[in-house]
Amino acid sequence: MPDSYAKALWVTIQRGAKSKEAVESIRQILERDGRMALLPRIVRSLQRHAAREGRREGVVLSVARQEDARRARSEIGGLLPEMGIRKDEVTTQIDEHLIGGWRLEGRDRLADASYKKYLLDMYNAATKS
Amino acid sequence: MDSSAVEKIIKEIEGYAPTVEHRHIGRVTSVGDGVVAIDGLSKAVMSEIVEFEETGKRTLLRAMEVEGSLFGLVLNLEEDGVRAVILGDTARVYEGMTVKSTGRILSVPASEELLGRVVNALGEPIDGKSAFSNTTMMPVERQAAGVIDRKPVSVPLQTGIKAIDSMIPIGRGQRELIIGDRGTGKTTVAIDAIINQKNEPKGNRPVCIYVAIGQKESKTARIVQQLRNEGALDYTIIVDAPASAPAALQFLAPYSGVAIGEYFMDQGRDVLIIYDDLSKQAVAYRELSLLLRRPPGREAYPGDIFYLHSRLLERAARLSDEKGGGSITALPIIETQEGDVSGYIPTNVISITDGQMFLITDLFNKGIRPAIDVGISVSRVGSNAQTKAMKAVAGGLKLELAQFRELEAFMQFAQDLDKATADRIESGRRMVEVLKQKNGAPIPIEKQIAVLYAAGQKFFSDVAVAQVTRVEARLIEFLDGQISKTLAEIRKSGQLSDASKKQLDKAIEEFRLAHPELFSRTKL
Repeated sequence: MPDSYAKALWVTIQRGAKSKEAVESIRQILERDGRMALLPRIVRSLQRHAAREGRREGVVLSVARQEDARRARSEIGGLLPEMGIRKDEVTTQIDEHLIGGWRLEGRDRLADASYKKYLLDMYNAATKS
Repeated sequence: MDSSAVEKIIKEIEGYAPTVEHRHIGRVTSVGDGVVAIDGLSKAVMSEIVEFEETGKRTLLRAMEVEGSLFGLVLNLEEDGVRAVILGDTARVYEGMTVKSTGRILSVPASEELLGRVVNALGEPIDGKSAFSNTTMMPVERQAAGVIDRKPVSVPLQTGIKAIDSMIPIGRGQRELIIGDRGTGKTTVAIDAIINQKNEPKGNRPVCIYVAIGQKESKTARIVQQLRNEGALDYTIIVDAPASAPAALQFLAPYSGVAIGEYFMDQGRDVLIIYDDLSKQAVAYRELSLLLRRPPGREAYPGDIFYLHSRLLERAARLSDEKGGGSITALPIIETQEGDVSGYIPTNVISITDGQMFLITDLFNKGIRPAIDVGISVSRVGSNAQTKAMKAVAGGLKLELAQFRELEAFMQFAQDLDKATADRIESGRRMVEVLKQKNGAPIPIEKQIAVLYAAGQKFFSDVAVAQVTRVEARLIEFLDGQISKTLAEIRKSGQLSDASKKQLDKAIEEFRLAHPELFSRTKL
């Protein structure tokens, strides 16, 4: 039930309602129904929901070194329209484990052109076949 | 590292063409009891295989240590994500893990290489021998053949068990249920049916698949050893989802088994598949469904529990000549509790199959083994799946036994019986003895016919009841030595010609004259 309240609150805000007013409405509803005890759980659920939506909507380009970022951004240029992503929505982060290349993750999509993936593919093909 | 491995890696490097991997992904939000809630995967379809990315947060060296990919099976499509069952070690999955879609529906490898092997529900070898190299991937879920693609069942599948082949005959493409309490010999009947297939000529011999669901590994190991000792393992595939396997694998195992069977059926070959047992598959599916938060119904089983078994058993069929003429004969096993055949799962499966054989604890305890109650057992295919020779000798058997049972009950109250009734009772007692059979000793069809012919000629009427089994064994040995050509002819033609009958009569008389000591009947 707290999840349902949290989701309803999220959707209401997404549809354009002001956050303060939406929260006040929920508080009044909970008070009317005698369910104020649910409020802390609703807040936690809302935080989880917000984090999840943030992860889903967020687009992260991972590169092994800062110097690789520019080249990676030019290589992903053709992919972004396919994935429904604008260039300015992409944030870059450093992940040394990739060794080289890049990895684009976001909007429930993954495009992986990292050296780590290539090396793992070769290793698996050579040793597990 | 040896030079061959180095060569292999060099080849891989030289031949490698890097491509960007594009996948739809999700993220694990919760995991427990083998079920994973995944956020995302908006394009996932039902029964799709998803891959858990264990290497994501690891260094390359640590990633190389990961043993094999870990997959999951999507079973619930929800508004914000999906729920999947883990097909492997659940300890490898953690919250926040990336999950990639594969776009593939679950499939298992199938080929001739699987004959003689033991595999798990995913088709992976678990008998310590080599991996399969040249296989065809067969979908675990597949639509059963339609009406037009089928042919009526008319070719017998000989089980080698007299009580079954004479009175509850099974045909290739039929579904015949084996149902009874624990410890009544259900698995024994099924294994004897597999062993008896070695008596079939190679061109006519069905591929046998034994699916062990929720069984003790010691029992499965014993069965494998028995099949190996009897020379039956060469044409048998064992699919094993033991009691220690996750519920997902116990649920999948029968479908994997029939998928492997369909590989051979599509090539025009016959297959015999045994599901031991579907009660355990139902329990595993109930467990999965409750964990997937599906609403429970009667006895907490999900609403689609009937469909679980009906779609499995419908895949047993005999295909038309246009489709290759292959067949899958299914012998599902159901375990009842205290003989209750009106339970939910037993009644479901009884209504799906083309007949059932009831194994009764009382009969088993009385020493009547196989403990089949022929009065209530039925094969809906019936004599369509019997050779003419067997029909000729077994035609009146069921009625004779039914009448004997009635008279046996009546005898407890009556003091003096007329001669006709007394003879019928004596004859019935001897027939019950004739139908007894040791486990692990299936009898080829021509010898069954010979024995039943002899019984029909009142051969055993002068044999003491307690000696019937011994005399029968000696008779079979004698006939095998004296008229093997006649027996081979009966087997080949499927008919009991007048000439064959004369040969049998002559041989039986010779046996009687050679062993007069066996025919001094002592009345009880």
